[in-house]
Amino acid sequence: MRARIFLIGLVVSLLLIGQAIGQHRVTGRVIAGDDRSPMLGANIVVMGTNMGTSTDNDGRYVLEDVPPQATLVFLFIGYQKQEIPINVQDVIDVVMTPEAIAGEELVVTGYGTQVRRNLTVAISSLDEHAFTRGGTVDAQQLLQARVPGVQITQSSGELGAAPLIRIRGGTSVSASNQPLFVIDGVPISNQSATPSFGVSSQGGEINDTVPLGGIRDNVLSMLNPNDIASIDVLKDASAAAIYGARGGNGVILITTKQGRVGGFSLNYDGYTSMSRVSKTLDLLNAQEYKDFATQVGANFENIGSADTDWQDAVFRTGVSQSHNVSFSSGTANTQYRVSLNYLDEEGIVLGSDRQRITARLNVNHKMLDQKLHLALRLSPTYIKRHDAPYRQTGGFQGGLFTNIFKHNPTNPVRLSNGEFFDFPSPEVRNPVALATLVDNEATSMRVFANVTAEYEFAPGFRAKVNLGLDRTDASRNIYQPKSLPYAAAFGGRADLRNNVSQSQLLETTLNYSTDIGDTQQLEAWAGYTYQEFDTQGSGVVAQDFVTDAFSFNNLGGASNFTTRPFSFAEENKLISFLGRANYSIANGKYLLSAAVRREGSSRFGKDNKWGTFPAVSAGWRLSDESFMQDVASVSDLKLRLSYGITGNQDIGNYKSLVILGTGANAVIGGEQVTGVSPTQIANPDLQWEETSQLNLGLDFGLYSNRISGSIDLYSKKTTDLLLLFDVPQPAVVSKRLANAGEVTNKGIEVALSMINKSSGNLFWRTDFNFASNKNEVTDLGDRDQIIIGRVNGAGLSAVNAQIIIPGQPLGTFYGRRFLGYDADGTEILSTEGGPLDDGRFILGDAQPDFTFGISNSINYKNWDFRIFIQGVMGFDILNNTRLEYQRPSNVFNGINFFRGALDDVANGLSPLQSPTFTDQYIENGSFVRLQNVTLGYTLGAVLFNGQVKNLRFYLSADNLFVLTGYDGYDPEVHTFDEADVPTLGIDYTNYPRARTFSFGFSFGL
Amino acid sequence: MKNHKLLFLMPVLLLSLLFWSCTNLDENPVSQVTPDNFFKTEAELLAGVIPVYSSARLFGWSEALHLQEVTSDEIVVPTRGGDWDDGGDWRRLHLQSWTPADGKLNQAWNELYTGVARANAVLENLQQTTSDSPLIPTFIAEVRFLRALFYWWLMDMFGDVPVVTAATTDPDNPPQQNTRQELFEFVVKELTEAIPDLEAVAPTYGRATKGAGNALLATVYLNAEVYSGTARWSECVQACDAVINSGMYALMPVFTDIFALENEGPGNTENIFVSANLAEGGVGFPRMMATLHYAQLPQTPWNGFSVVADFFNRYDPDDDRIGILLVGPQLVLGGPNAGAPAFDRQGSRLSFTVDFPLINATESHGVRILKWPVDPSQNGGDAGNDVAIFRYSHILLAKAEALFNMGNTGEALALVNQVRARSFEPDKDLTTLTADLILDERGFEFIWEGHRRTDLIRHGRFLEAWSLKPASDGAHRNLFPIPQVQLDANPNLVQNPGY
Repeated sequence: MRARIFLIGLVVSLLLIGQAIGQHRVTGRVIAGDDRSPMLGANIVVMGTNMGTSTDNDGRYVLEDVPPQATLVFLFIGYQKQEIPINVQDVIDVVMTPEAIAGEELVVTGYGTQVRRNLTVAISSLDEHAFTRGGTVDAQQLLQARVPGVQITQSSGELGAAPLIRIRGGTSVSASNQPLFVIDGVPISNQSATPSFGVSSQGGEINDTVPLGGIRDNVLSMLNPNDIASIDVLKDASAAAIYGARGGNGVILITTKQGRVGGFSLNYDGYTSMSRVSKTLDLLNAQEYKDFATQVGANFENIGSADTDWQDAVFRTGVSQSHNVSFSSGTANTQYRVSLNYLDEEGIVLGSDRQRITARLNVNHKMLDQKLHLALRLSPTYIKRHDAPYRQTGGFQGGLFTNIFKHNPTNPVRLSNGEFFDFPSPEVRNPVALATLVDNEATSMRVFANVTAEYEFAPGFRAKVNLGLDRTDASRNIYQPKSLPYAAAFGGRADLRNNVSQSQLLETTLNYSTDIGDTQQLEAWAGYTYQEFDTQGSGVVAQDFVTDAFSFNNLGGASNFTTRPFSFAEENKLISFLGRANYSIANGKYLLSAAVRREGSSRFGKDNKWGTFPAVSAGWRLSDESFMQDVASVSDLKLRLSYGITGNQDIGNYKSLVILGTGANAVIGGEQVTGVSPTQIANPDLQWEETSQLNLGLDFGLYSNRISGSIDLYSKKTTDLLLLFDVPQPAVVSKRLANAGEVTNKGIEVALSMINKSSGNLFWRTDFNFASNKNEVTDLGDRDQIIIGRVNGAGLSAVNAQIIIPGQPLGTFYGRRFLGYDADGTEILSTEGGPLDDGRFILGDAQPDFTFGISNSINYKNWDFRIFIQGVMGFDILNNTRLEYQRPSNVFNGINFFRGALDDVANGLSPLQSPTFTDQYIENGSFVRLQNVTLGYTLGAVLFNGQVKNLRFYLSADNLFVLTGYDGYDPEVHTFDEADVPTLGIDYTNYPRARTFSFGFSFGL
Repeated sequence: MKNHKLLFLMPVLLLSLLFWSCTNLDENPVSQVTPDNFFKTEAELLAGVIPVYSSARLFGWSEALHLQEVTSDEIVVPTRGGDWDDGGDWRRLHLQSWTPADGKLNQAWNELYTGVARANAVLENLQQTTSDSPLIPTFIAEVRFLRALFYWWLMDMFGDVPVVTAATTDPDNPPQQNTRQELFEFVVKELTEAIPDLEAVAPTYGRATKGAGNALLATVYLNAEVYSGTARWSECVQACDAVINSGMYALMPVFTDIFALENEGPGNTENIFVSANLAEGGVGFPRMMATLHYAQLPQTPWNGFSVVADFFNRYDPDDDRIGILLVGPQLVLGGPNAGAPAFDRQGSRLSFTVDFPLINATESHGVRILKWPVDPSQNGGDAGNDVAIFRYSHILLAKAEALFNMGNTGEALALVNQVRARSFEPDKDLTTLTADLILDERGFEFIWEGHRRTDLIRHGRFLEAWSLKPASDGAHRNLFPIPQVQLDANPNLVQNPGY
């Protein structure tokens, strides 16, 4: 933020250049009191003269020819003014004390920026000030729980797992609920190119018996968090409407760090960390297992003599390291910043690791009398990862986690000869062998690049072109060796898949800004954008290898290629015309803004290609009114009202057409013959989902902005939901996508920042956010309800746990109530009552009542301390893992179970019984998490003759503890359902989360 | 200055013009095709016929097949601990307590009607094509035969359902229901018209022939009284005779030879129409996976489908056909350890028992069926066994039943004994014939071949009690209800009585 005010400083210092009389040279460095960072653009004025200068990006300044007895005044917005007599000193270093939370920072608004005090829409911003200092692995950590109304759920503990992001609640049933990401002005596709097994890129099941997982790299995990200067979240429809058919779920704008005017500087930040699973589940040990088997008279023959804790055997301490180097430099006309990040992470589960190399080059150049601004952003990222072989859903034998729970604790990990213990029947698998022997490797190379040129061709008029490219080349190769009993059945198997995805962007905009009289400002712009997205991929499977030695590297070693190879290619495009006008009256006392985007998407039906997405908003700065002048405690007060319409087009390609697809094959003449048949029913009226949103906001600053914050109330309504409807038969497929139905979200958000203490050595700031959202499905068109939420596990096919029904939120749990056990130890379940009068009831929902985050940062002398707590309260989870593995009857199958089953038996459950899905397995997921604690120490003295600056050491702990009543690994859960409708809040054999301790240091040269 | 502006604005203008022309948002799929650019050539038309054959694979494995077998006195899927509970779906089939909300009913309906829709889609193109290929009339006849096959099971299971022959259905103007009698007449008419254009000998193995057409016609006539209210025994005999007199079919001398892998293909004289399979993804045969124990194949079968105890106990111990049923101590049946004793998960010798409960069954409960031998090339769950939809003994027994009902017991008895003869050594001919004996004979011959529910209903025996199943709660169980999802999607449909 300080950087953003640099321009103001530049102007001031230019004004001051002039008639200095040469007497004395003073140099020094200005450092911020809150985080000990160098301050760029602080102004230094020689009192009583118009001499002065400002600091460079290392906080340094030089003043020539100053009167030796003069007094220097150090100024920076939001910090206390300091007056220091020179007293013939040559070097004057200053620590500035913060006194206010500034309202002057620039906010990225989408196709532009605006000063926060003039904002009329709901945009939350985070900058370096709010970010954790050190130890950050993925960019989502910068955002999680820091912005009210933005709920980020870490769906899995897997390295780089895509988070589930909901801005102001979910709006869609079938289409994506993820917000749009825009990096340095280029909208990014949410689709990951990394192939994932279990699900084909087109949704079909690839192989049902193979326990492979493999997560997909996501946008946030492919950025270097150290490169991010700020994150701005467009929350209301008025802010997001400028992104039209993609703004419906909100927009997250990421701006990367730029080079600055000033001398060369180089920074290093590195850390090493240790991670360990934060919680283990309570399975029986060998003695308990034997005792129970004896007690219930289970077959004893294959019970061994070992005592294996399978969780302990599979979990490990993951050691990771990260190194980040950046350097930058800049003259008045050319600035650049270069960075390189290397991350090497070990997962807490055997067989999972990740390496990431990210580079970035950002260059800005001004020419032609500074009227032409050229900019380049170029960032390649390479990721290579190994995933533990597990699938979250389906699969009778299951993968890693399933077998951790199932494997009998009396059997050893390895035999005395060192070979893995495995049952001859591969029905229960040795999880350590799975994790060790299956090689599941994914690589992806992604390049973000864009070039912009902006030219001021007449006073107030600027034309701009932005050309962007985002390309990912990704592959996943898997080899399942025949040394595993289950893979011996097919002689080993290699799966190779490649995907490429690319998007190209062209934007041209014309901007006009002018002052009207002394007190009014008008800014208007209009533009045209074109963006095209292409994806293609292919895959091949080979089986029956002569040896395991080739792994997936030599398909020539295989002799069975009966699984057909495949390939596909798709494209879609978006074309828009857009514009916006901001009008400020009475020096910003009254603010008006209007925007519109007319957007066409290839994805929609031929009768509905184009949509219009308008927005209007107004602000009234009450604190500028005369009647507020006497209220001394209120330093800033602004009322905002906005309304806008946005769309959601994230439904996949070609959904409105009749498509003839391959796959309906038959065997004719002893050979498989490819059939071509319609696989989709036409809908020429198919269109975007439409969200209209009204937002009322209040921005305030109290006590000279020592306390500042905002309160937002919103109501949003999403109509024309894209839903799959059963069509009358005969039909080539049973369902068709159509627009019907309505979801509403209403809520309140509060953000509050306070400088509690700011004196010489001590600085203490608290940031607090709170959000409460009420989600409700209000209409489903012709459908009365949609039953979703497939329950996973053996014997639980065709059991569903959720319902979408008007009057209830998305993610509503639905099922029978457990009423007790009968004399035979069978469960008694409700059989009547409930919305459909079939004994199934609404059992809760996965939408939290409210969420909050509290962050404290304290600086005392050279120490800095940050603590960050997150809370998500009042939501439910289906503990599907417990449902499947808390079964006493498992003992008859020679497999283990959770200790809770012993209580169930004590309460009357027959050991022969396997409980089914009831409200017993719906748990309250509320939690408070100590997300991060960081303690740092900055060496004040300059080392090595000033060569090394800002040497800081830090210790950081992530996920230190969670307060929750939830029984599973972690209450932050999400199972991605592979069926039509994604579900929320079902926990099934998730990769558990880690607790991480990091030690790092950073310095500058 | 002016030059600077031009320098900058020219490329911008050029670029903008370049892209400005790109306001075309039409979608042109490249790895899929649209009807506009397909069905032009003979090869493309054949590619359109294949999906209809693909749908016919549902007679080999599908929810529709389960509705015909797991509801009968032959096969039951017990719940074993937590396995095979599946929301009670399998139990409701066996207990005949299904409801319109049961997912398996809806899936069966969709499977069959998808076949109809694929047939309708390609028929329109076949009838409109400008291709003068001599193959077109044969293609048309094959597709009409296959569509009749789907409509046969639709009327057999659901009674009154819509008959649609148009290529597409407008969701806003859904089809009307037809009566079961109209369906019967439609199927008979379609077959009568298609049979002349069908080849006598399949042009390639797996395609439908005149024999297939006549076998379906015979089957539909055999059940005419159920479908239309009027028995059509003599028409049934005529259709059977058309098959018999073609001279192309004969009983295989040994029962298990019918199913042997080495007898697949045109050389199998007994098979009239098959659903052909290969040990490949998408076209495999999974039935052995469904019934065998986990340890019996390296592919880890699913240990589900078992024989109803009463049915097993009805077999004559001298009947060779009992040999396909697995009871008592078991062996590993495939993979490197084939032939070795099989063990259950506790390490005890695996031994299948005749009697078992419907829930809380153990992993060794229930007699299993090894009618189709283990395919050594089985790939995952996909085996390559072909499965007959109609075979010659079905025609002989259908003719016997028709003649018996026409009063010609003598000729009927001879036909039944013709079928029995290969399964008894020495022969153990029946000396008298009753309807129940014919039904039993069909059961021993066709277990798990998809005929049982139809046969029981025709004989008025479907509602009786048998092992693990009380007598049905009413005659409405002779039809399945129209699935609730379909009633919701098509307001013109009226639910079957009793549901």
